[in-house]
Amino acid sequence: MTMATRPFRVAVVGAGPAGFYAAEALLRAPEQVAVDLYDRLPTPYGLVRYGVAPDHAKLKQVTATFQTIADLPGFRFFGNVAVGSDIGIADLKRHYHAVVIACGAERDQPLGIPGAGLAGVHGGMAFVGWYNGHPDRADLAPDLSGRTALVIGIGNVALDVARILSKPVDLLASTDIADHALEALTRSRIERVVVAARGGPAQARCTEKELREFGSLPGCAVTADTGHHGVAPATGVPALFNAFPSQDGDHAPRRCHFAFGLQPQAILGEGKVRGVRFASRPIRDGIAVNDPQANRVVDVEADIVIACIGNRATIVPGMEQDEGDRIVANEGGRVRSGRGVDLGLYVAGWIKRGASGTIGTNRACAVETIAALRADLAALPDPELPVDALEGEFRLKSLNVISFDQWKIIDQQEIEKGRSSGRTRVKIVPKESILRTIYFNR
Amino acid sequence: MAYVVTDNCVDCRFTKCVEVCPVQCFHVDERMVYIDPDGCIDCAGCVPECPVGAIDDEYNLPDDKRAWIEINRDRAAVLPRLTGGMEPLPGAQQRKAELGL
Repeated sequence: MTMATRPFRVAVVGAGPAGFYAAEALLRAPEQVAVDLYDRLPTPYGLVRYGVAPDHAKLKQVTATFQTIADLPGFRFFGNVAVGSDIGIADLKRHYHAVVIACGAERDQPLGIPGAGLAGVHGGMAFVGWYNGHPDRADLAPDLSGRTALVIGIGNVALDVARILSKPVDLLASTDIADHALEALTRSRIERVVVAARGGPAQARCTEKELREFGSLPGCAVTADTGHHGVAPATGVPALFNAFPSQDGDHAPRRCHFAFGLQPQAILGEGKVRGVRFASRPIRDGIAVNDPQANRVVDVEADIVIACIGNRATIVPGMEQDEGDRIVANEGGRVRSGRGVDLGLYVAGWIKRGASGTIGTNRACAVETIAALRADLAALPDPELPVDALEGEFRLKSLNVISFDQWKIIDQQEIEKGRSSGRTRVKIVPKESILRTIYFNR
Repeated sequence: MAYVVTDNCVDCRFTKCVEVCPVQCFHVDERMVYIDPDGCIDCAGCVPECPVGAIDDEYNLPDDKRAWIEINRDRAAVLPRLTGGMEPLPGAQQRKAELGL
């Protein structure tokens, strides 16, 4: 048998979009490749399950594509196995020809200003994980008893957070939002949401479709202070911001306001947040002007702050980070090691290129990585140990490995629970409850 | 609502859109690609990828391009699905230049 016609085994770590698309590219390759897709959670789909907003149901239909990939011959799901702690990357490599790390960028970019550690200051990823029922974020318990929420940042995560806080709760009640979040939002006393952007309207990272939703939020008066004078922008995101009134004439139960040119300087408060101090920059032609002389100090009151200012790569013990922890150092998907690359180790998705783009961007990204991997195949030595030995190892470690068929039990139970309560799905949140459902069907 | 491929794609067919489609809802004939509106999940990922700005949100389409909504639906239904990018058509760069892009 020549080197290129050997059967290959590849481990893909992280069962979100990048992991699934990497698995697909491998399983559809002309070479004979089997893929084991690992996730540290018992549930697949990563940010499609725990990131996409509950009121964006159509986007979640991408899971049908992931199910098709899971049905390809040679695919196995190993859920509830944390690569890096339950099993080291080096150990995993002894059982596979190659390992692809696709576990995203789940850490929030820290604000890095005084007071950022005060109670009531949250990161966007943490907040999004909370309302989506991520097992590790379920006890975030954000305090929604105040009147004003301040969202820092103006990407799509910031818009999701602002929308979830502004939307009438009965419009969320039929979605798959986590029960604990639905309950907290029902009791929420937030009546004003301020979205503070560092740049101007033309620099906003959000997309048109997401912004347009603010034009039709029932019971919410939306305003924007674009700092715009002169000819109004004709198209795109800046035009949408411009179309919101700068002041609210209505007496709506809730208000949402977009403000620009606000660079956070400090979180104010003692023990608990009570506001944020910004350096306010003037806006010219949609762009915030860099002129320290022109800055003003602006204090904005806030009872809760959610900073949606970007992500940092998920920490995988045994991997080096790059670009200030934003990504793992790589060359077109090959993980860099010293002056060369770590043969047989790859990255795909957000951990490779940073947190940006849409779900499908990860498809092109994973295809690039797998092209690099396939070019290396002939040079990759056969693994030292058989892959079957891994399952024995997991048993010795008392790991409850979840298969794709076992995930389907969860999936069906959640949909069933939803059907009986008029919702698309009722998520089972704590890991123990997920395992109990699988093993005892209750 | 879905995204719609319009006339700028004709005789270009760069297919950059296809590479980033998360649900592989693009279909192809010898001149352009089409989006299956029932498969599209409105992620908008294809829009910025198109070198000739051929794709837009149904919502944004001007009156003179609204016919493309039905054309996409009808053509996608009968044409093969495209799962990966292709080489652009031979005249694509020239056509792009003619479009002033």
